[in-house]
Amino acid sequence: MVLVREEIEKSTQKLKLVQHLDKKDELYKNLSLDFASFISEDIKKREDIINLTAPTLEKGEDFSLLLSAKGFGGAKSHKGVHALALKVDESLEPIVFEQGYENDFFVDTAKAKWTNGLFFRSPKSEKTNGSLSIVLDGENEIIRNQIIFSESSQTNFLFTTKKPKKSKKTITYTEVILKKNAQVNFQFLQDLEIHSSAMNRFFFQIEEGASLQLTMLGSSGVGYQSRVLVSLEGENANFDFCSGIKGSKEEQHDYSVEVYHRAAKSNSSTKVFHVLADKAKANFQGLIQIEKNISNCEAHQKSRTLLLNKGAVVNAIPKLIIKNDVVACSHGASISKIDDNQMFYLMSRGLSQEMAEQLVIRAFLEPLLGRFQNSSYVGKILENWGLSSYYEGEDA
Amino acid sequence: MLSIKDLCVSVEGKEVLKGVNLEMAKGEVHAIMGKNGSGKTTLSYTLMGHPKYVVTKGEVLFEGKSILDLSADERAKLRMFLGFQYPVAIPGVTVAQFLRSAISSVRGSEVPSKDIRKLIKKEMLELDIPDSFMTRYLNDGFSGGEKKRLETLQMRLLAPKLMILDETDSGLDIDSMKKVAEGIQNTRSQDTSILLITHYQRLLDYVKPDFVHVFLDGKIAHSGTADLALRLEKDGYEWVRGL
Repeated sequence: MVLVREEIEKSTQKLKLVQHLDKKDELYKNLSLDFASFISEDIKKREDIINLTAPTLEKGEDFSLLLSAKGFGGAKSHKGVHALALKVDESLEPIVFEQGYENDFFVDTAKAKWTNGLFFRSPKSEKTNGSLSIVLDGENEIIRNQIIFSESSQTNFLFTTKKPKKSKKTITYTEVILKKNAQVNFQFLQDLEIHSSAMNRFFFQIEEGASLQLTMLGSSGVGYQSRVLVSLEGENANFDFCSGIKGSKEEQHDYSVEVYHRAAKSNSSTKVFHVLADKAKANFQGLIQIEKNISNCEAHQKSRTLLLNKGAVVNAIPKLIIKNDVVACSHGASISKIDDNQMFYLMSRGLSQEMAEQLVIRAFLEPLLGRFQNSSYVGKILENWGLSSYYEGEDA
Repeated sequence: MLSIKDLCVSVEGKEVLKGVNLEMAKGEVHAIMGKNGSGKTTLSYTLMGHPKYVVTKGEVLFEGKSILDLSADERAKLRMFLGFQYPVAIPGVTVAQFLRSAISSVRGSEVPSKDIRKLIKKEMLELDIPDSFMTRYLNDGFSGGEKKRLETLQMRLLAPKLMILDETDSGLDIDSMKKVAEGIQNTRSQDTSILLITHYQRLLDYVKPDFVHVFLDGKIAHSGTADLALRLEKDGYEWVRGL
């Protein structure tokens, strides 16, 4: 497999091109499906896109697509669709799926649901080098994504929704399937315009021996709703989740994480961080459910909240439904305020009250932020949170 | 350098300092000794501007100007430094990150950003502090000795004019105390003043004070020269009450 990842930064736009080819370049010669036909002349002329290649495909060839700034195109192969991102805009048209692939579920799902979004499937038993970075245009109001990590694949997946230009409500619906023994580090970043709101729905299906480390970070906007459903389907399936929200003014954030252990020896860990200022309100609902015939599971859930003002409110409702006795489970919620002694210590070293407060918040969020590899989008989100200066340049 | 006049301070409604008077000139080292609970730490926190310590009466002048309306960071920028007896841990903030922020806040353009790392390295070398300190979280999991050495490093990096050192020697073994004392001694100059709060004579063997003050019941009950510390070590504090 050849994996090429290029980041192109021009003066005003940052684009990401991901070209992910399952075969060596020469195999694409004389292929029967001309992908180039899906790319308009206008796109080809854009100066901010370079190295745009349009591989053609032959039935039977595996393929994953290239991604561009404004929209994504995709292609199919006889063996199945390996990557497809669709955004209907004036220059790229979505490809219509045809029946007859090895797994019709994906095709039907695509047909039924997608107008905008991403379909991605990692190659079986392949390990990605570095992070596979996917950036979706934030202008879409409804985004539906389906992501499949194939058996025994190892993937670092950075999935970002760009900040829209105008305020709007964005709805994302994302299904993620980890096939047997897939190992995935999945990071979801959503950079919202300050007057925007987002409603995110995630469904994760984790099969036997597969492991998902999931980290989510969203910028404020006026409201943020996320519902994460996780189904641990196979023995030794593992789910490790960490997310964070900062609310201010009169924003309301609703967060729900439901973890269903449907196989023995499956493990889950959920940590949710809230930082709330002014009159912001956060509602967190957590659920761990283990059925009677499912034993030897370990499941933990924790909500941590830092309240910056008296007017800020958090409602943390952890819930356990455990019907099996041979399990190790815990849940907890903690609420704290900024520590006066920490503030005094930092200020006695010359840091202004604002700087000291930001540093204390940054420290509170470290278990979350420490999971991110350096990303300009993390920086942008933290900038919205007023923490950016402490994210960049932290080398020792 | 520092002038404290009839300073009265309350903590959570309870009066702790009851009329402290002290004059410190530039270049002088003053030691304050006293029993537990006599108000020594309250004095140090008040001088640095902890909001919990409420000044009910009196005045504190630093270089001729009142500082009581200034916040702790503003006092730090005037080059006042408090070495804490129990430095607070802040997990999640690395020592490197913290030191860079502190140096640029206090010393500003005096130390260009590009030189900060070099400066830290140099001082760490002199204090025999390993590089591994830099990536650790601030005071988190540090031993007593490591905390005090980090306090000493900060003191040297921030180049204060007035150092208030609150029981810097507490919890240290002899070797650690020597290192910390050397750090203090090397920072001492004609332009700096040190207010050294301690229980024991042993630190004063290394950092010789010009004056020693005995704190009793929230105020200075007696003052003298370095010899006074030797008598306190021998006879305790109660005899001062009878003076």
